[in-house]
Amino acid sequence: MQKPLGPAISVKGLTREYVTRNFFGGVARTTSALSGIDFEVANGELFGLIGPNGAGKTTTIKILTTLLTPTGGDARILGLDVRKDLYEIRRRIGIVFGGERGLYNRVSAVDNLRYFSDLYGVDSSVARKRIPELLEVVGLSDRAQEKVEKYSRGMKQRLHIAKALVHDPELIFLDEPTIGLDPGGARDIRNMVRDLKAQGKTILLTTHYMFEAEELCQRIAVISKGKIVALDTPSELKNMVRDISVIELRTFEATMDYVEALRKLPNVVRVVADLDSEQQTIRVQTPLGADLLPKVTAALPAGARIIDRTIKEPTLEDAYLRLVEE
Amino acid sequence: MKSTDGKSGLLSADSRLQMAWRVFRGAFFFGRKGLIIWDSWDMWVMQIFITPIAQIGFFAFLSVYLKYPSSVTQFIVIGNALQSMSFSAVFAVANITSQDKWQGTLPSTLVTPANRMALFIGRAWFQVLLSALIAAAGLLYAGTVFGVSFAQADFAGVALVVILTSVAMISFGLLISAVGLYMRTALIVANIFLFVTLLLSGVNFPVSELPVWLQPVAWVIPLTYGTEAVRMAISGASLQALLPVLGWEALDGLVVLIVGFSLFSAFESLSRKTGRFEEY
Repeated sequence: MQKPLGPAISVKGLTREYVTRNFFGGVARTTSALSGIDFEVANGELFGLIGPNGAGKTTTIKILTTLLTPTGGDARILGLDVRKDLYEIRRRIGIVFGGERGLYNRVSAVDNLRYFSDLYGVDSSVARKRIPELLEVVGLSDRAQEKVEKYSRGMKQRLHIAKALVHDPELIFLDEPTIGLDPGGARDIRNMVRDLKAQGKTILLTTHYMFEAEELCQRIAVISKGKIVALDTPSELKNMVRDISVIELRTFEATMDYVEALRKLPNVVRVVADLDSEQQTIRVQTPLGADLLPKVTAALPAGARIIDRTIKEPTLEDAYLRLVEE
Repeated sequence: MKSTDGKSGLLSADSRLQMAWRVFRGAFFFGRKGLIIWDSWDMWVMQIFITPIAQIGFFAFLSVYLKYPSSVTQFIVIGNALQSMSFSAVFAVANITSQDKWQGTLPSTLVTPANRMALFIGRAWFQVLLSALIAAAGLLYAGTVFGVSFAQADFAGVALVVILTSVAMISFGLLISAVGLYMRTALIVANIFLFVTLLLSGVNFPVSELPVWLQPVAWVIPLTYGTEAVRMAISGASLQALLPVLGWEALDGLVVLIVGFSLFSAFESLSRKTGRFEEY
């Protein structure tokens, strides 16, 4: 198969609307999931698509993988039209869905892979060689004959990756591949993604984890409310928030009241807090940097204390929050 | 001669027939293990040996209780022996698409280039064997427990009827499973269909006893031909005499299969437009 001369993915003015009909068949409501997005992914690129829940990430992936028809615009995969060239596109792409579903649980990993290699039309002799190799790559060789229902979430996710590679696709869609995994499992998946990139595969990755997108992707599109609000390299996206610094606090017994008090301080752009742990992490975005610290400390309620405070450069997450909240 | 596309090892796009065969073969073996939820030896034993005797027993004892002549009871026993395959042939097959939805495997399956006809039929084909075994057990009970005489029977004819009816009924199961691609579940439709077969397919009384306007509907269901043919074969009709009925049954099964596959294709296309693949 020839590599396309143009981009691996080309999306122009792509729209998708969902129509809800009433009992009589009339249109009750039209919801716009994508409102004219444009982007291109080069051959061999690892491209990230990030955005909040309901922003349009999964709709975009469904359209690009031929599972959903767009209502407007144009999308080409390896130079092929997603509306017309379903058969050829399906032969040349792989998709990894996040989460535990999407595998046949009552059969083994080998049976899952054998079945999908049949569905993709992989030559039997190639499949016989490739399936054990893939199981080795994803670290499931010693559990290959066990029923998938006995697998941990991380093992299932690794099998998802093997399944997507069974026909050696040129382009791989990874839809939140590390969602719900423990840190070790997520790291394994990220290493596999890096290996795939090193093999020259083109990858489109969606994720909720900003550090993951920053660590893996060459370019990132931020999608919000069905529109792409920014598209650039991770470092350029971070440059969009160079005007602020981040005061990161580790606190003990801080509550939501303290977070609200910080939000009301002058020159505070945004406060992001994780209050669920015994020690809380609070990130305060401000253009003042360390000059804001006295006010931050003064706002601390009785009984709470600051264990550690650091002035940090803004991260991709800070840029992302600004972009999706604007 | 196999041709593959370079490193990917995919069969070449122009080997469509060969690819369809791979899909059919893969789906045939995998369908039983991955998609038929009744696939375990205890479920097999229960379906083959308990389902038919419970069903035949119910209708046979009802007939005895109502003091029908033994010829009527035997008519009912034979009809139910064959109909007892419906649970396996229709219900289990209709459930395949729902199983794909519940396991979240439908998007992974439909994003493959697999030939849909081969996939559609292949996944259900193993149920032909199970359905035929259930009907065979039902007929065994008919002879050993319920006093049906097989003295005149043409056993080759009986076997042919059982296998053909099993195939034709699976076509109906596939048609209902196609509905499941678009509806949240096809099981409600399958349940209704099972009772419709009891009513219309000449299982408990001849089709000629139905209201005239219902009789053409009865002949749409392949089982109606099957119940007529199996009674003929048990009473000694030759293969040659059975052929017209079996021919109609085969034709009916084929038409149902084509309609089912057309529905499957139409619903796949509609689901792509509406985004309803993953509703379950």
